[in-house]
Amino acid sequence: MNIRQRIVETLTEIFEEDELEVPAFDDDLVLLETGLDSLGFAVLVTRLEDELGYDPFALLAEPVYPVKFGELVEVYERFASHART
Amino acid sequence: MSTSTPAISSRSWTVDHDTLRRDPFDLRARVARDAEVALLTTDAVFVAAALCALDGWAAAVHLVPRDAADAVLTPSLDVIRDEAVTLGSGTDRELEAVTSTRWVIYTSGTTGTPKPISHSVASLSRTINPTGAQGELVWGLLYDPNRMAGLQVLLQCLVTRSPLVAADTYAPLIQRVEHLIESGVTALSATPTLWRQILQIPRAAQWPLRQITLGGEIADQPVLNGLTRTYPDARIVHVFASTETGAAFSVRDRRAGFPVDYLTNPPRGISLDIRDGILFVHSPGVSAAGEDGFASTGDRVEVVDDRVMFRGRQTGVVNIGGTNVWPEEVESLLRDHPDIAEAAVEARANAMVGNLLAATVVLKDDPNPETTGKTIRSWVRQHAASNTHVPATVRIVDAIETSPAGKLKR
Repeated sequence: MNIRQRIVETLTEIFEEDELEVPAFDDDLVLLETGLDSLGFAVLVTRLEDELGYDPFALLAEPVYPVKFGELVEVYERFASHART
Repeated sequence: MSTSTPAISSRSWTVDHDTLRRDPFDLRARVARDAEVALLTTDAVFVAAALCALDGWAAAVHLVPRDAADAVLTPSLDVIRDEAVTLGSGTDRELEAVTSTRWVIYTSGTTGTPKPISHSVASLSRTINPTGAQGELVWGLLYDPNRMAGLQVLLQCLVTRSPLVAADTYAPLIQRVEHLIESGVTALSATPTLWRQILQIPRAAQWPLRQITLGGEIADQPVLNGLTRTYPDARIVHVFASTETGAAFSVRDRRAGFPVDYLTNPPRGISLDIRDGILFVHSPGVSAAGEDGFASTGDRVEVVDDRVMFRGRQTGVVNIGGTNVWPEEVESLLRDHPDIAEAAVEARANAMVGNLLAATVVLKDDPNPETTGKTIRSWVRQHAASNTHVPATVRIVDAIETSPAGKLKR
């Protein structure tokens, strides 16, 4: 499974648990407009760390705050070499 | 073992109370007067005999738990190991007190280096009621006798001359419990975490316990209710005692927390105070006490109606996006879930919000097959005070490890 799919799956799970409407995950989807708050976002990062074996936000020299879904995927893909094999 | 003479038994030795007071291991010959010495043992009989023989003789005695030995022992500190001593019948000479002895015990060290705390036998014995009706109680010891919880049980038995059976500290809990049941133990002190596990041991339901003591962690209402249900005839007491302050007080009404009038009407003369939400006890003999004699227990408390409720360790607080959350609160909530037997919650560093909570849970037998980490998380969201209390991850495991002191490992 590629990284994008993994992120979509994990996000869907969190949306369902938080009883939020699951949006269509286009690259232009604005994350904060989905109802996902900072805590939900942090939960996503933690679960993806369990799934993929790395937390790109902890690896970044400068903090990055992805606004759109496409940027979020890009950050994860940038550090894909850290993924658990 | 003779049942007519109360004795303390361990895996290696059984020694009656009179002999224990006659220095049966000849420790006064082994340790110079006013010397500083470390004991390396997990044997309750040996520790009991050392308490009798070396108090009033040595300047300081370090009680070193096995897992703290590497950090604590130095070449300059004289060490006595239990495998190097032999049991005799003891001396008939009176063991005179010629000095005041510091007993140095080590905190569990969940955060790294074990921390030494000095006590006197008097400060360690403060919760012991020597006139308390012990009846025919036979005490069990589940703990390492070097730790505060184990020492309390040991001193209780020494003062009241009660029989005590010590389980092998490092055997699995189920074996320790079965050994105590088979040895006729009728009184037991354990942490709430251990009691929750004991309630899951099939044979424990038929255990004719008459005295149940909880200490070392917050005794929440579910565990008190569970014990009341299984042991309706037992006396159930939760003891508050911390390593930082020595012994303190006990609560007998089977309700979590303690009565708010303890603040104005000190239980057994022990003055309590709440300062900035932290419980302080008047404990002038303790190294951690301030100028007014009050020492912080490090426990956060909150007054709810007529009770003072424990909310967790001051240092255990987890800052989640600026909100302080105590993992114990979330653990307590998780244990209210109909399918959860035990829960441990720990902080996990997170670049977004500083920290998040990660929960590990053990399910009860025959849980609802639809219960998953996901449904547990949704349940917490519905019942928690805020979304920050909801663990980011919920892992379901077969068993949760406990520390040598019987506390949940976070």
